[in-house]
Amino acid sequence: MTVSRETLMAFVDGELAPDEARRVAAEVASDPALHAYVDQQKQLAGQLHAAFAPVLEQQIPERLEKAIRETKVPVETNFASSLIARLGRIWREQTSRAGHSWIPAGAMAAGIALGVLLAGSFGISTLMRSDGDALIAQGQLAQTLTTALASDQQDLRGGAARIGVSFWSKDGVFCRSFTTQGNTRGSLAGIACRENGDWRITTLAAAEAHDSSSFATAGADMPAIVRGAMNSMISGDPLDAEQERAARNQGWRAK
Amino acid sequence: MMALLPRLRRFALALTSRPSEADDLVQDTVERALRNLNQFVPDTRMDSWMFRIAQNLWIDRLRANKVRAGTVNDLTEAENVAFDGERAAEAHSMLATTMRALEELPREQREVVALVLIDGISYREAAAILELPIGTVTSRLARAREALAARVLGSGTLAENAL
Repeated sequence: MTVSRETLMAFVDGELAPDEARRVAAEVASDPALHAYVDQQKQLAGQLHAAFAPVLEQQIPERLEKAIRETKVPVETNFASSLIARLGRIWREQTSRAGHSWIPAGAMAAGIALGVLLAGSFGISTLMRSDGDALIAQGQLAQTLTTALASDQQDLRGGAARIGVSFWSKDGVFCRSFTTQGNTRGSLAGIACRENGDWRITTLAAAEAHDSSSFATAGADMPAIVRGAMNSMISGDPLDAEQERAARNQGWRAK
Repeated sequence: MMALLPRLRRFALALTSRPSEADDLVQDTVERALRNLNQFVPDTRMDSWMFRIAQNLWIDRLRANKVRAGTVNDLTEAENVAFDGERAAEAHSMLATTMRALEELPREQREVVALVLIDGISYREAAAILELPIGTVTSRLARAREALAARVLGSGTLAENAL
């Protein structure tokens, strides 16, 4: 007997490395006792699995769906929660206003799965990071915010984001609305303000998927929540092309 | 999270052997998971995270003695909904037999069986969920399999004696 019981078990469960599995398979084939044992263990695993399989088909009790819908998600401040809670909250607000969604209702009700979903769908973690309570643009999004001009009508293909409008906030800092490069499920839109050399994201919402080749006037496709936030933040008018270029060339210095 | 509910219910049923108890456990699990969402690490497996919460809650419930007395025969209360049709009785009795056998295992062995044999999770992932060394998982699984082979298949000893 050169094969231990635990090895046989791992063999049955498909846990052995290919080489070892081949070696054990050869032993099992040539030894009736081993063969009987392996058969029995396979039968056992099959029966356990089969016995419980119908549970997967059962209707989910309403109280469980209700628990998912109604349990409050914390708004706290490590990376996961701030992103997820924030997006979940903004998302709910946004969809209840707009009355539409492109995320399955179940996920939306979960509220959170959503954040994970968004993060996965949009590769958000490569575009933003959490810094305490704030979301900070990074990577290509930060680069676009720092260098791109709204007046360039940048093509989203190849870039991470497109700038909508640049403006001075009432706090005297530069802010820019942006739309990230999305996918067929949509994209993210938001406002980032220049603070201490970073772009701090003050508003973030889900935006409709859009065709990168056909965007119209700046800001026209921004979600209502982003336009609303901008209207409450803006001091004076949005920058025109010349003012924007000057601001960029001076490194987005605050007043 | 919605998508995980069927597997979570199956896991809870394997742990508790009682449908209403299982759904209580799933409900607690979902609520705790949502309230502690800040502890979930993005890009890790949400299923494993929730299984771990369920398993910890189950231990808490057992310790607090909140689990009401009952038997596997309580199955009828919820399972009848699912098992209509002609194979209902057969499926029902297979599940009942299996759960009765599981119920006789020590809790530690049931956890491993529920994860590895019923859900199909790998040894490594099961060890991570249960926060155990992988060797502990495999030895518990080996002991559980021996006990179950005798009870579920009714013929366990023959093949084992040959080894």
